[in-house]
Amino acid sequence: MSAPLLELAHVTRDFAVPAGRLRAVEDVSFSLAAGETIGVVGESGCGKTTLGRMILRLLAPTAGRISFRGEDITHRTERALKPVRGALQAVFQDPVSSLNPRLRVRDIIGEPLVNRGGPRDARAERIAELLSIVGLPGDAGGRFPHEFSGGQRQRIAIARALSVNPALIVCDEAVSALDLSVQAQILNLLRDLQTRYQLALLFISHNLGAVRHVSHRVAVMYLGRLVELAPESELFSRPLHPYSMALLAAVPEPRLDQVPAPALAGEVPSPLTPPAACHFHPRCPRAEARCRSETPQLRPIVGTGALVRCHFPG
Amino acid sequence: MSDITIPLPAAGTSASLSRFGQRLLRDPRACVGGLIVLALVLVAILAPLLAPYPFDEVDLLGAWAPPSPEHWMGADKLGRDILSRLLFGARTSLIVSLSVVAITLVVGVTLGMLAGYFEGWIDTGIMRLVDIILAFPDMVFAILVTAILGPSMATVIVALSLVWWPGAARLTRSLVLVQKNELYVDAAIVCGTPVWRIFLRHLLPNIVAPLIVRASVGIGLIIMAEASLSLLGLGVQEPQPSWGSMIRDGLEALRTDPYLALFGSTVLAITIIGFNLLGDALRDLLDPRLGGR
Amino acid sequence: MAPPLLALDSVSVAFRSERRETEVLSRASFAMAPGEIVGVVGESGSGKSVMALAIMRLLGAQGRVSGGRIRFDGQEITTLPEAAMRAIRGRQIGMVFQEPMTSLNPLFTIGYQIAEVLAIHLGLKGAAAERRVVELLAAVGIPSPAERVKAYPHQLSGGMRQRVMLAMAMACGPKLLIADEPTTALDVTIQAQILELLLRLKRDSGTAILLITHDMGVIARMAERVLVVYAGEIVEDAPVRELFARPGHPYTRLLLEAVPTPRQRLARLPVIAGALPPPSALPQGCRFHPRCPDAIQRCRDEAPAAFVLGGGRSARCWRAAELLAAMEGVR
Repeated sequence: MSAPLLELAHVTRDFAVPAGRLRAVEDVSFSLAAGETIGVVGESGCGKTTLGRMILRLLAPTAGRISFRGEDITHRTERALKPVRGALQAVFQDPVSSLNPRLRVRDIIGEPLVNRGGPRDARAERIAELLSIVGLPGDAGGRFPHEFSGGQRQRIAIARALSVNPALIVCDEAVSALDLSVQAQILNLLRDLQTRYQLALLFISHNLGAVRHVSHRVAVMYLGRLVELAPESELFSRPLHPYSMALLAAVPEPRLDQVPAPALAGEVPSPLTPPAACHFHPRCPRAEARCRSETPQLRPIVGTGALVRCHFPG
Repeated sequence: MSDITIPLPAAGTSASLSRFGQRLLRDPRACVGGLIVLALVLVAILAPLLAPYPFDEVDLLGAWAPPSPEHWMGADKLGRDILSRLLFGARTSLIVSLSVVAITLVVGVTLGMLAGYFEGWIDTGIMRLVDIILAFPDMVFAILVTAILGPSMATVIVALSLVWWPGAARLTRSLVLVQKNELYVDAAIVCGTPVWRIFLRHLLPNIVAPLIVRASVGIGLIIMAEASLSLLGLGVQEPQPSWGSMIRDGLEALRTDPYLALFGSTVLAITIIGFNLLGDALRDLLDPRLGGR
Repeated sequence: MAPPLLALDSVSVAFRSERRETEVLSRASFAMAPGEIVGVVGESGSGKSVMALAIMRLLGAQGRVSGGRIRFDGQEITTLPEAAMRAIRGRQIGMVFQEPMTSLNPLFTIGYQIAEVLAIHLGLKGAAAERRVVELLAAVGIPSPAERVKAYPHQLSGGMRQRVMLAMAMACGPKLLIADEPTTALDVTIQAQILELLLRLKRDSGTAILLITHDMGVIARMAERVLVVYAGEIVEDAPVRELFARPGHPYTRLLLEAVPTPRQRLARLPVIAGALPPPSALPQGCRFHPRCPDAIQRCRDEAPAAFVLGGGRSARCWRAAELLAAMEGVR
């Protein structure tokens, strides 16, 4: 088995806020192989965006280790990260603010190329190639972002991410701000690119349907912790963690023959004062005394490919 | 929310510059203010051609002459033509104000960007310095500096720059604090863009609008400040004309020969109004439009 | 047959910008029975929110109803004087928006804001008002309502704020509740709670609900009847069963197919080619024809009317009847 492309070991991130300490991410471990896509799902306060930002090293973890291509990048300075920057790219949520409104599209797409250096005509050629790969017209290069629709802007962002042949692209809610018909286009594009270029993707989203479409494995997060990590086919047909079950049950399907389960009660607790031991126990239909006193660990479940953080999974 | 969008213009428009220019021309404040500023600049450049007399031609017999066909605005205490001196005085005002604006923008914006982007001790250090300077009343500080360095045009420029850069720094810092949280800055970091290029390509173009507004209003204020310093005798020295020193001279003879003071203050007032109008129009046009982009 | 609670008759809405006026909603017509839940589905920019604002007469200075009539509870409200409209808004018609944070005043407690509605419309004050406020908070599922009365909006989560908005909207027992994307900004488990709450409120009070959303799943869950809006027009009007079983308009059909769901992983998501046309650049003929896989020449030349298809449904498509029949043939 070849070395994983990305490896997280017990990654934790705390923030100091006036009200105390906010633990946004706690003890997250997993690895991502080259060409694999892991979808990360969860609701507000689950820490998935913070996780994405740590992987991109826009933030450093408070504890734990992040390795990319076998190298430890946990605490590298910006200068030391330079060789990695091209291989680790991102597509962000907001197509409006993730593109500098003052720059032309070709300068936006070409930025990683400029940073890497190289002759100008090679750059121009590559930019034209990228525009065609993402399905934008050739004359888009000379225009400004505001002249394009949301879906087209995301294509520009994707072109930028692809420009220096990345190994991994972190997509942080990349389709959430888009209209439905456009979401489908972008999701198809991501899947095509994935196959064509053997790209690994970390697809962060609250949209379970979108996650299913692009992911090989899915990680479910709740209040900073990873509660389930399973192959896509297993998670969506046989979720093992009570929260995963509730999450899937809550998604309204565009079908009439559904019998909606009663909605999960309660709200996500504040990350400043998380419940003791298992974070989910106050809302969990099968919580018992053990759940209140002993924090469950992420363990593989025999007979499945899943890892679950629960005392009573399945 | 976007369901209620008011229809956007069709795609294909180039940089918002030409559209912005059209809107500028439609604003009466911009037109009036712009004309005044333009007139000032032309006058300053063409003063030697426009002035009927050299600014230092003395004619003691014709001292305090009232307006006449030979001297359209009259003559001052040394018989020098007021009109000519006002025209050359425009040069002083323009040179001083442009120099001060240039220096304060370069220094203030750079320090403001460093403070806002890096925060931490860099921010604390720069902002404490800013606070100290801002604690002094503007003119008191300027007077102090000119008194120490000795009056001259260069001194005035230095003094006013020292007084003005903290404001530009503070404004820049608060703009950068907001902009650096925008996703495109994150995207630039992820692309491996070095910090200096982030400053120049990403941050600066997106904070330039409020700075332009501040600069255009600021020029008027700096001209006023220069005139005040000259009024106190701390600015450019004789025989170089400055509107401020001319007004000072004119005030001494106000009761008997009011024309110097009258024309001098009128010209100063019109200039300040012109810059203020232009600044107002730019502010209304630039901030919401470019902020919304 | 009871007279409809709400009836739109060929309503058009236009917005003025710079020097032009552009129509963003064209000749919308439908009727709503008392106590009915009608879902309005469409993408952003389709004009669905504009319709709601037009009903409430909240179009703002730049918008106006440029044609047609709106009747509510037997009364024509299109040209009602503002004072009379204010009496209806909040009392007979409640409205809930997408972003509760911007609809609630951050400076006042939620108790105060709900009490304000009661005071203005029902003249309720003092202890009676306080009691009613606590009752309303309990009815919308806010735990410990007696203490929460003193909470400020920023102290509540998104889901809680939306419940407060519902409490305010339902405070005077309105006959109609207009909910514009009420759950779009919420987490999916909270959305499930709020949708459950809406159904319970309607069951207990008999309020009709006009639910505007872009989510077909929410429509399936909540609506009794569905209006599909595209580029400023209502392109389909059908009972929910019919709509999902046999969508009459090609756009509806494509919309149902193009949404990724957690239920299955397809090799490729069906895509609706092209993009929603802006109101200022609408295609000739049928507004959907450039993106429609079933378009024929007639679609390019002539804009279709809304054809009645029987079974209480209609679709704005030249080929609707034909395509429906083909679908039935397959079954």
